[in-house]
Amino acid sequence: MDYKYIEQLLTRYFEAETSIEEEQILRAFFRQDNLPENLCHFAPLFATLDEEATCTLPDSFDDRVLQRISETAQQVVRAERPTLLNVIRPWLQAAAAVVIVVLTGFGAQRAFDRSDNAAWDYNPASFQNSYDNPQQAYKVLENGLELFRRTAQADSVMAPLESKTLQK
Amino acid sequence: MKRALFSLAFILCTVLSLSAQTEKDFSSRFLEQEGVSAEVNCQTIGPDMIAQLASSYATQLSNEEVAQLKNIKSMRVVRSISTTKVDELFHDALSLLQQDKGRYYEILSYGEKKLFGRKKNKTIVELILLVREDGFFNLVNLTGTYDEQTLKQLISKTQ
Repeated sequence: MDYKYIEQLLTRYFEAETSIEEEQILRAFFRQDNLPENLCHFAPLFATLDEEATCTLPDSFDDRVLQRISETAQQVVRAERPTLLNVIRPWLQAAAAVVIVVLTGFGAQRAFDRSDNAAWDYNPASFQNSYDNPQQAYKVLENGLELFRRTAQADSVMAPLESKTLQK
Repeated sequence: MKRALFSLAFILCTVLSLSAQTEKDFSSRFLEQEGVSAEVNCQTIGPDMIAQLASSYATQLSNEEVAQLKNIKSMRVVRSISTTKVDELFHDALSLLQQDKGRYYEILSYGEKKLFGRKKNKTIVELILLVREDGFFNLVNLTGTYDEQTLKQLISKTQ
């Protein structure tokens, strides 16, 4: 038997040139049990297409979809009220970044400054003046410097410094 | 990750700031070691008073003295009240100075007078003079910025 027409339809089918009626002819042909050897390997393809065509939605599908729609419609969307913290959080982050940069720069400047003043590494606040009166302070300063001035002279004789009451 | 970086930066800048000024002068260390004692008293002239004196007495001082004041940041004079424990005080101060040889170095030693210094980089930032005279113990502690030349001027008697 000559299956040239079927072969021509197959060629046009795989080139998507067949009409719906021609596809139905092919499906009807491949539903047969006795198929020629050169065409039987196309049978599973058309059998699958037949199964797909018979697939239908269950009766409860419509009900389920409508129920899902009604549930979504009942959800109340509430607007979030921003708290004070949420509002100022970006500003706090920016301020923290500025503080960190400034402190790092300040600390690095103090730590790496090689000038003479930077060499003096004492805390000024740790020196609490014993005297508020500059005249008294000057007298103590002069006596102390006088001791230094006599340091290089081994035969110097120093008068004892005046003993002041501790005033801190 | 962001939090870790911020924490690290904060710790770094805190450490740098703190490391910039944490030194104690020798007389503070000495008084801490001696504890609250009735044997000594301490007179302190801080940086602000030194600056005030430099401006107040500028006209009355010689140029050399004014220059010396500019180098001085602070002075502390620790003196024994009585003559009973002078040797002990002198020995304690000397031991504390010699304890940390990397920190203080001996500049001069004339009989009962000993002068020590502390350097930072090439600048002398602290001078400690121990004097035992007339039965009294004196510790004069200067902080400031000195070089060899200004130190010579400081310890030489002016005409």
